[in-house]
Amino acid sequence: MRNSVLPVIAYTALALVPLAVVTVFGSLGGYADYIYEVGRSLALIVFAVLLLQPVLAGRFREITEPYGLDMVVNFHKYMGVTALSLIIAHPLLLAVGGRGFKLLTSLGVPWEVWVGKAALLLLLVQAGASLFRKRLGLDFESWRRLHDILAPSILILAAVHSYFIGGDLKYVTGMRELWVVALLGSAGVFVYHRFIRPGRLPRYTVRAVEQAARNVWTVTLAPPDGRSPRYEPGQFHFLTFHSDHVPEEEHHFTISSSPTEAAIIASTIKESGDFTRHVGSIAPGDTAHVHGPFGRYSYVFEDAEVPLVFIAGGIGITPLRAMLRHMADTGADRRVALLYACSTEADIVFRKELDALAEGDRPRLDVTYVLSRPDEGWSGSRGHIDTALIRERCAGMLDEAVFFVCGPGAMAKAVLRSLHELGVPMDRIRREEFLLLD
Amino acid sequence: MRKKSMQRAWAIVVAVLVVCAFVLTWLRIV
Repeated sequence: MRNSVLPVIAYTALALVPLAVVTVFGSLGGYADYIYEVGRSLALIVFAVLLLQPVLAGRFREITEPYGLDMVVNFHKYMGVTALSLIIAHPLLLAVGGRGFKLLTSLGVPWEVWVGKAALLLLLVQAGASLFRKRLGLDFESWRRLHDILAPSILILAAVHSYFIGGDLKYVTGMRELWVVALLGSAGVFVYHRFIRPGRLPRYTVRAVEQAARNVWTVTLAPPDGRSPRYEPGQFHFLTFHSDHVPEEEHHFTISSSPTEAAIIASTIKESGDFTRHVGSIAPGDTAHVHGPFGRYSYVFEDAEVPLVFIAGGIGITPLRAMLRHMADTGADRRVALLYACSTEADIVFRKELDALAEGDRPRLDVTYVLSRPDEGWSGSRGHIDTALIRERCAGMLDEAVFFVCGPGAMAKAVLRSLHELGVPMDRIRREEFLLLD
Repeated sequence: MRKKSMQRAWAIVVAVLVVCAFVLTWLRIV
């Protein structure tokens, strides 16, 4: 608890530093307009919030570990929209508080105001592109390039605007120095995260690329030092392949291997998007920079006694396979029900291994395959994972089990609705919010 | 669940920041 509350308090305190400094050292006297001054105070807070954005997005273990990277990135997104909302209020309050609406409408405002308006406009574009990326038809890489250009541009414009026009920066001793130091610090974090660290990440070698199901490939990587990588089963990492066959882009993938599998780390990847459709062409001997592990999606964070229900759709089996392999290798005496939905038999990933695990007694695994488009000879479950099937296959577990759900958005939503109908509370449902990183 | 916690943390942070904007500004004026 302490671990997860302290960073939030530290974040809030840092966001208030500029306002706190001017409050202590820069008295306004009794003549100032309150609304006008609140408008200026909001700008000081927003500038600090913007400076902290690269820190939230920088994947620093100290910040991400208590919450999971997906939640920290989500918080970064929420704070971006918050900054935009508050900074829209900034000129409005200045106008209402005595500066007049010519501030907003006149072309004859000082150049520093124009710089501020440009910063606001770019922030609006930044937020719009991030919130509506898919609707705008922007692919992830293009969005990321745009984000990387806009973020420093917004910060520099906002810094210039406030440096030259801000009364507190002119009259409160040390504020301009604070501005420069904070801007350099924030820029340093951004440059480190985007340009320095990627080149310093460990470079693994591709040891094997094997077909795991139709259009699905397991890429096995060996670390440069030959030691077993440290991670928890179910976590994910970022990979940048250096291969003639795929673009040199960073993408996140679930780790499908278990840390009990010595000296390798593997990701099982489905051919789907522009990048992944060539994944089967990656060859042994190619290399990849690996950044990770990240995530809180693992049974090892759960109570040891509690039974588990794994519900997977398609390639969503990967973190669950890692956990099941780990349970088998460590002799974990756990009761696990796996409900695994695919289109056809050929799409079932890790079929042989899952069947073999179900025959063992550690874990005590019960596997149910559900096919939406089975061949005529299929004797197993048909259709989708619905309320009735979950009730039937999880008999006696519903009141205490922890549910790990992993699969395509529509399937996961339907499963969450079913779990809700069955009375399973949200605090017993685990889900990786992968979409937030896309 | 984790998402709910994150949203709660975000709401608290924003509330604190906005309240501080009003309160600290008032302190500067009086």
